[in-house]
Amino acid sequence: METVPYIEKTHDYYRRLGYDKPYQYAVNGAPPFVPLRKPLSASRLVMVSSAGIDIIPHDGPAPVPFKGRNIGDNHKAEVFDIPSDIAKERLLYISGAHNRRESDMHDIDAYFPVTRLRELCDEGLIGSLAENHLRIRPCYSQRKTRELDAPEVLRKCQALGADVVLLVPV
Amino acid sequence: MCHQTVSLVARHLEENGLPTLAMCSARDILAAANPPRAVFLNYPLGNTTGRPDDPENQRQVLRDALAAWPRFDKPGQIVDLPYRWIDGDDGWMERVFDKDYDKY
Repeated sequence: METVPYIEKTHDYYRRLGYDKPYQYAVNGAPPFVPLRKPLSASRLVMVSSAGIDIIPHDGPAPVPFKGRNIGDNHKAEVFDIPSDIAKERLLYISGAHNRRESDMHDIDAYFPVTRLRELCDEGLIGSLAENHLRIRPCYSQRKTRELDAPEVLRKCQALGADVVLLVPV
Repeated sequence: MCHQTVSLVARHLEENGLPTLAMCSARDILAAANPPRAVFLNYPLGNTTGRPDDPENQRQVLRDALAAWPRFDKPGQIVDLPYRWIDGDDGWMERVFDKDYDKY
């Protein structure tokens, strides 16, 4: 299968923008691996997403989409709860970082499948959904992700009683 | 960055005993960061779990991912899903980061 060489293309792209030092993507050896403890049909699932989405409050103004990248805070964990029973109409894609050429991000279920997961749970393919899904911030600093965000995701998944975790980048 | 961030988190969770599955559409970035298990959908970034406004396609992608999950038998495998963004037209792949990219 032909696939897009994203590493090469991002290096070329940033070189054209005037950055001379290419970003060093993480290159890791063999990953850890633990078997499923029980069938998915009996497991509680948490989804962890890197989508730049926010919740539209019931009683306040909608969050304002921002232009460009959200630089965030590299000195604290940034892991946010999104109720797994939320209607997708209450979720808004607010990141300006994403290119809109092929799709405009209006359908949340194409990258944060909150509705589809409920349907598959109702069908019995998944035992249950945890009370919350989690949103993390994509980050250039691998150290920040490893040392601050990942441990916070683990803590929250354990508190949510997760048996399995589905991770969805954008 | 999303694919790398998610892969690093997946490794940390699995290291601490939680089984994970990562979806992806940037296969090379994810493969380099090397999460425990992954399913690849060859769609443009921003459509990791299916085509917009196509619930049946979204359901099928997730059903395939869930069906693959228990079948991984060694660390670092990536299962490729067979779906195409547009039947008979992979032009979007050429347009990624081309000279007109920043107009969108």
